[in-house]
Amino acid sequence: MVSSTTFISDTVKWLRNSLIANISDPVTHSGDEKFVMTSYPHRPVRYPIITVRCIGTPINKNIGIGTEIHIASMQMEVRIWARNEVERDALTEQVFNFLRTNQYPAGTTNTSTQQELWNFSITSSVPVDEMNGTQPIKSQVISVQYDFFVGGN
Amino acid sequence: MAILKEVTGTKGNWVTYELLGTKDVIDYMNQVNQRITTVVQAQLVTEGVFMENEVKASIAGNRAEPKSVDTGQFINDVEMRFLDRNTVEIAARKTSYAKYLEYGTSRLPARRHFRNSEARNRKKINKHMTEAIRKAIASCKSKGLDPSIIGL
Repeated sequence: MVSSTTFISDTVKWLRNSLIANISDPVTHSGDEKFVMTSYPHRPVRYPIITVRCIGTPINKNIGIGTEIHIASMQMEVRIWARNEVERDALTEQVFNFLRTNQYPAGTTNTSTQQELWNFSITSSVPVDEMNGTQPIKSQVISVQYDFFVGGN
Repeated sequence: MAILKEVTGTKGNWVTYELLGTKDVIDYMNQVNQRITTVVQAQLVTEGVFMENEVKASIAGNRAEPKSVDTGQFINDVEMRFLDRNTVEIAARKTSYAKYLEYGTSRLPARRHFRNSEARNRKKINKHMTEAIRKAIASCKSKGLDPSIIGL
């Protein structure tokens, strides 16, 4: 469960581990190679990969007068980096479907509501196709939002 | 205006009901709606222009993001336009490499001119829009219209 004291890193790690467990790796990364990672890679990688990052946590309202519990809108970026359009679209669909169907029930381990992450939404999904090189990378930037009650647990 | 309708009950009985004054109510709601919509749209233009300038300031290097001006095509292409009555878009539609600068590539870090500008100014714009709607409601009341009829 995501904790108020470490809500950003908990959410990033939960999302990364959930994607590792539920999205099928088309090329079977092994050893030091990673399929899902929590930062943009700084060394050569074997595509496709998925990166998960927290790109903003505006805490813009509290839940009432006289309380220090606030709602954080956790904005996460899940980015698919693939070798071609077909692979990119297939992975994007898998990620969409997994995140959409992994919200309930709140009593089941590893669903987003069990992690206290509420109001799931995909706020945007933008393809970014690179043009240079012999095998240009096709990526999809998916912005995902969850609400979390900071101070609630 | 009156609408007459017969309704047959489950045991064969029937009732007749009559609605009076529906046209007057609809006209009244339209008046309130139009007055508030006009104010909201005017405020949208103001906020849209403000955001366009904020994005341009970010591209020019006057905010936290790195400067993205070389030929000037990107910064000059950023424009505001209405998508529909209630939606304003700020985009660089003619610059093919705009999305590479905004989202990054496998070799270039994302510069986030648009998304960071939105995050920095979201609260301010929400506040301005709320104030504009409050003023519109007050102006309705001063003209003898009751905005609560459309749920405000």
